[in-house]
Formats: sequence, C-alpha cells, structure tokens
Amino acid sequence: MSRESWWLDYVEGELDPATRAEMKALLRHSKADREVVEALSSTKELLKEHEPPATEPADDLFFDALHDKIMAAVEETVVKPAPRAATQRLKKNKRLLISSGGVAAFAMLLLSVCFLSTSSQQTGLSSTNQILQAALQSPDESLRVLGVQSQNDFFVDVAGTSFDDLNIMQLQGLLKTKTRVR
Amino acid sequence: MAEIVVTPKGLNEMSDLEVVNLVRGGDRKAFSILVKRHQKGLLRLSVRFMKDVDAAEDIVQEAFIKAYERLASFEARASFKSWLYQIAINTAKNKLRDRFENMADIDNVHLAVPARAETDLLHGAIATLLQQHIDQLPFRQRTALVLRVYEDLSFKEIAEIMECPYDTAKANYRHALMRLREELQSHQDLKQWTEEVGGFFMEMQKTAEVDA
Repeated sequence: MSRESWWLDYVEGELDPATRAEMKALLRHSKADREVVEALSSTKELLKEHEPPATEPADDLFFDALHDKIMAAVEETVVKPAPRAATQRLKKNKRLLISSGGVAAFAMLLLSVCFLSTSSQQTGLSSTNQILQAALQSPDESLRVLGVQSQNDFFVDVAGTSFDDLNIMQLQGLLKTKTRVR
Repeated sequence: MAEIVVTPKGLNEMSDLEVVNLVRGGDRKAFSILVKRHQKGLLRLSVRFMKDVDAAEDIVQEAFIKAYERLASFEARASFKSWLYQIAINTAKNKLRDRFENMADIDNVHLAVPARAETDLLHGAIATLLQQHIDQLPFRQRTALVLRVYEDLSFKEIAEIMECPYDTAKANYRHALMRLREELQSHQDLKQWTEEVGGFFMEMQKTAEVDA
C-alpha cells in the first residue's frame, strides 16, 4: 500500500484501533501527513455536505407500480441454467493439462535452476546488481513496486521523512519504542 | 404443559440469500421480496448515472430481470445486493455508451445534475461546481466515489460491485478524491469562492425581491 493509501484507511476508519492510535500519534509530528489527512477528509465532507438532492420519486405509488412491472416481466422470464457443463469441462481439461504437463514442467524447472546457477557464476552478478539492472531497464515498474509499503515500511517512512517537529533524540526514542513493539 | 409452536420464518425476516434459494427452488413470487427491498436504492443509484428518472427506471427493471434470469449463476461469493448493483452499473454503463456512441469516451458522460431549490442558491452553486468536477472523473473512479460517498458502501462491497480487487477499489476512490481536491484547489480557495458566489446570488435575490 502506498503512504496515501494508509492515510485513506485512517480517514475511512478501515484500521484496527491499535494501528489507528499509532497513526494518530504520528500525525502530531508530521505536518505533511496532517495535510494529506485534511485533504482527504475535507474533500469527502464537502461532497457529503453538498450531495445532490434526491430526484427520484419518493411516493409509494411509484414504487408499487415499478414493483408490479418488474414482477410482470419476471413472470415471463425463465431462469437460465447455470453453465455447469462448461465449468465441469473446464475443470476436466484443467486436470488433464496439469497431469500431463506436470512431468514436463518439473523437468523444465530442474533445467532452469541448473542454467541460472551456472550463468550467475559465470557473469558474477550479485542479486543486488541484478535488481539494479532490472530497475534501470524498467524504471516505471520499479517505482510501482517501491510504492508498495507494508505497515512497518509505512511507520519507518513517516518517521524518516516527516517528523518535522521532532529533534533527533526524540526521533530515536520513538523508533526504539516502535522496534520494541514489533 | 404448554405446547411450543414453531412458526415458519416469514419471507420478510429471511435474508436475501434465503429468499434467493426459495426462488431457485421454484417460488417465483418470492422474488417480489427482493424487488421491494432493493428497488429504491437501485433507482437512487441509477439516477446518479443517468440523466432522468425514466432512464433510471428502465435500468432498475432491466437489472432485476437480468438478475432473475441469471439467478442460477449467482454463487453468493458477494452479497445479492452487490451482485444486483454490479448488474445495474454495467447496464447503465452500456446504456450510456449506446446513448453517446458518437462520443470518444464514456468518461465524458455527465452524471445527472439535478435542479436545485431556488432558496438554496449557495448550496446549489457549490454542488454544481462539485458535480462538474465529478463529471470529469474516469468512469471507474466516479463509480467508486458515488458508491462510497453517497451510497455509504464498504470497500469490500465496492470491489464486489466493480469486479476488482479490494485495493483497486480503494485506489480508484482515493484517486477520485485526490483529483477532486486538486481541482478544487485550482479555485484557490473554495471558501472564498463560495462566499463570492453566495454573495452574488444573495444580492441577485435581494434585487429580485425589491423589484417584485
């Protein structure tokens, strides 16, 4: 989840009480995050406050008539059978594919592992270098992956970049507390 | 000794799924309960996507008939309500596409902008401004926004209706909200803007009253 997504969860009440309390504490120290929360909640409030009025009919007569029209159409409608045959055929094909392909796939896997192991030794590339190369080749994908944060990443990120009101000693103390909690 | 009388559960007390199972079992009339339960909400939702009540009424009818037809395929992975809303939104989207087939993008289709009460000019002016910006949102973002803000649905329900993962539903909603925020910020200060617009309308109203 992105950082904004975490704050959206906060605004929308999608968090468990403990996480919410922790995030509330973080907010006190981060002006940037307070602004994000304010932006999300005030926009939602504005939308709710100025919701377009209901234009659909509210009288029972209208809905009685609508109900009757629907039920009259339903009387002439037949429930289509669930496409079970297709599903079963699909499952059968899938089973066949798995069983026949299983042996071949295992053999391919073994060959791939052998090949990768050999080529890695030959080129001498460390996994870090491989990651860096992949990132250079596809920066968009790397940014997308980097934008995904776990809950722990989120707290570290906020602590690292947004504690504009804290001095370094306070920040270290807070991080120690967070580490102990984990 | 008093005899314990067990009364069968009334149709009205049954859950949607229980009623669905009754209908699947051949009790066609039980479908009436589902229509009564959901027709108002479905009409309200459809009005938000269509321009007029007549078109919205057609969507509601079509959605219920499609739901009845496909009832055997309903696997109860989502609630009946979510499934029904999903059918209605897809039907509305197709109708809008047909209606505006000459337009390059369905995203250009506007949500209904209802007429405002004359006495509520300021409220109406802000609502119109907001509506204009909502109209600019891509269909999926708009759908997530409408379902969350105006229908108060959970992200789980929204994901079911939009047939997408939970996080995607949330991302669509978040993007819609942030985009609206940016658009509104382009008005520099909405509060100041509303005061200006409100002042203008109030002045117009006063002038009209004096003239009268």
